Amino acid sequence: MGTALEPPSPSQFSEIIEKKIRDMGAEVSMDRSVYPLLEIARGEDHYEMLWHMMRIFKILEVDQELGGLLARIQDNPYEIKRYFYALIIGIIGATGAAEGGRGR
Amino acid sequence: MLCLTMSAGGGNAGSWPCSGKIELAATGNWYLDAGAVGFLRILKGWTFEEEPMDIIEGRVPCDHLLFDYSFAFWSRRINDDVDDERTRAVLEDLRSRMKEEWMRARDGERTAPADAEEILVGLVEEYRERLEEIRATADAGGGNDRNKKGQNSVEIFEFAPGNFLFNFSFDNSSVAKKGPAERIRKFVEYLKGEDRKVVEERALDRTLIKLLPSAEEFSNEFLGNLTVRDLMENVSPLAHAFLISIEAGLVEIRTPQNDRNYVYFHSPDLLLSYRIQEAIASRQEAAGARDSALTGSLADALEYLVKLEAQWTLENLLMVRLGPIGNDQMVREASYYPFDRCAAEILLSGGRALNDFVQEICVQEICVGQEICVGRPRARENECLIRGLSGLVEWRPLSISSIEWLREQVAGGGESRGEPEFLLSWAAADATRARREGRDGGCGKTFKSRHNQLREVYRNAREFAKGADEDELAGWILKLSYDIIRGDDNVFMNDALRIIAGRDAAGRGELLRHLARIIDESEVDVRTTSGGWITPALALPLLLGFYVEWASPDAGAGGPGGGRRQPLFTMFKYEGIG
Repeated sequence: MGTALEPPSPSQFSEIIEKKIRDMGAEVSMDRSVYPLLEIARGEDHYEMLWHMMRIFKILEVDQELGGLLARIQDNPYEIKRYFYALIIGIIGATGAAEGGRGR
Repeated sequence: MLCLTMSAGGGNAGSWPCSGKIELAATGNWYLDAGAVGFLRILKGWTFEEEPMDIIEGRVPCDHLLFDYSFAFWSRRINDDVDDERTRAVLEDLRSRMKEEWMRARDGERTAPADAEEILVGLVEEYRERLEEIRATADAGGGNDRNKKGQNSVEIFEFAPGNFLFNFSFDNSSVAKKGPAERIRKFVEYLKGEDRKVVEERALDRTLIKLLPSAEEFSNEFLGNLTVRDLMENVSPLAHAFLISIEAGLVEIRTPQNDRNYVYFHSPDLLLSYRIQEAIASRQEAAGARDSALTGSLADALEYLVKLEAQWTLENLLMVRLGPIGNDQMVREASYYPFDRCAAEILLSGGRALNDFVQEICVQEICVGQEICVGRPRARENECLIRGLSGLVEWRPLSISSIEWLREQVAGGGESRGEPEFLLSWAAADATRARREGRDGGCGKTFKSRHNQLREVYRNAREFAKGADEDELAGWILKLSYDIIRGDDNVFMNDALRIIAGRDAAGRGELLRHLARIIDESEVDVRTTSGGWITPALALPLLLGFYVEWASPDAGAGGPGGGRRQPLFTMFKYEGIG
């Protein structure tokens, strides 16, 4: 039996998301994707946040890779919010053109 | 010439109040401990030459200590403020003779109070005659020097600085009129513990010693209700000597305004306090400088601190600053700065000299809130340093004050105030301390890496904000600062992300990375501290970058109507960005 991998930290998680979006060449609309997510993050509906995370994982095809993370945080509203913000950071990071995303 | 080989038989017959070997230890009360350090500093060059280990560890009998102290005390009091060369030479000679006679008496095991009194009185009588002769000669020659006809002869002994010990008969001017011999008799009487008026009848507060607060002000009320006798019986048989040595334990420093301040570094380790006071005093003598006096003193203390290993000691350190002393001999101000190694390491990090730190935080022409006074004229450097340091050493975060200040500048539509990058130092210090990484040492390293990290965020925030409309920039600053001041971490993160999402500019990626790091760290903060999500220290470099761009002359080049520096409270209504 294998050992469970340490879940990514929020910053690692946002990098994974950003990389995946870039690799897929997915187009991100600020108005349709980012701002609505920020609006959700402003509130306290943690199940909605979870649901959007699951949805985006599916689209990005990382649901297998990151499914364990969701299982780990699903009962902790504070953790959900942290990772939800990290998700948004990853998405915004993938949209930048000025310096090729994160400027690395 | 007076013969000084007589046996004991002065007016002060009897013995010293103690005879065995006693150890010296800090009591935890800084007045008494400053007195103990003063006691040791007075005995330097007499009972010991370099380090007072023998005394502290109880290897010198108590009666010997008091005997030595009698000589050392009066030798220190010999008047140095004399213009006339011959007089000065005579007084210098008296100092040498005191040492010689003391050594002879010590070798001959004549260390009773009566011996001390007899030798000292004999010496001052002899030298008083010599001084009288000089004055007579000057009178006869019609000299115009200080000892000219009609003037009193020079006092052999000075009084304690600031007349701190006026209530002790040996330092009282009315007793002094009877001559120096009488002062010595009274002194020995006190040192034997037999001056009942002082030892048993007076309250132990500023009515006795001017350096002490009044009984009402006493932070330690227990001490305020005690007498000198109580201390001698319950704290140390040398406590009465400590009380008249407090001034010697302090080091006088001059402020840029030429006020006299006194500093004392209090620690639970008497030897450490002694060493630091000696180092500070030595710096004062060597430099003679005024503008860096307090800075220098702190630097000395800090140098010792960073070498210190004992955690308990580190957690019980206190720098006391007294003064200036008013005409009524009241100490106008007493400030206390608790120190620990983390603060010391931060201030000395990366080879940074404390002076540089002061320059960085104090010489710019801005003033941040009530907490941090930055850039007042140079004359107020000490005040600035003290405010800044007190924030640091008391673990009082300075970042929030800085953010409030940035907000006020923007809201008030103030003119450009330069680039207060020094605020990054406060942010880095706060961030270092918030994680309590200093507990295991390494605060200096942490501070340095934090400083670099926050400077990078600041640089990227400036890049990001370049070319933004001035009103837009002001809106960002007001909005984000409001979130932080209100403690609404969630809204701060949300607003910051909206700002970054809405502008595709250089520096954007790095700012996102910083926000992700804040989220990472928030887990630790929630576990270990009060549970705040966004620490002001981590938000500050972002706001500072925006602020500096807002304040730069190029800001708002494309802005509407060049409406620069309008008061923004009237223009700005807080709403979500979107």
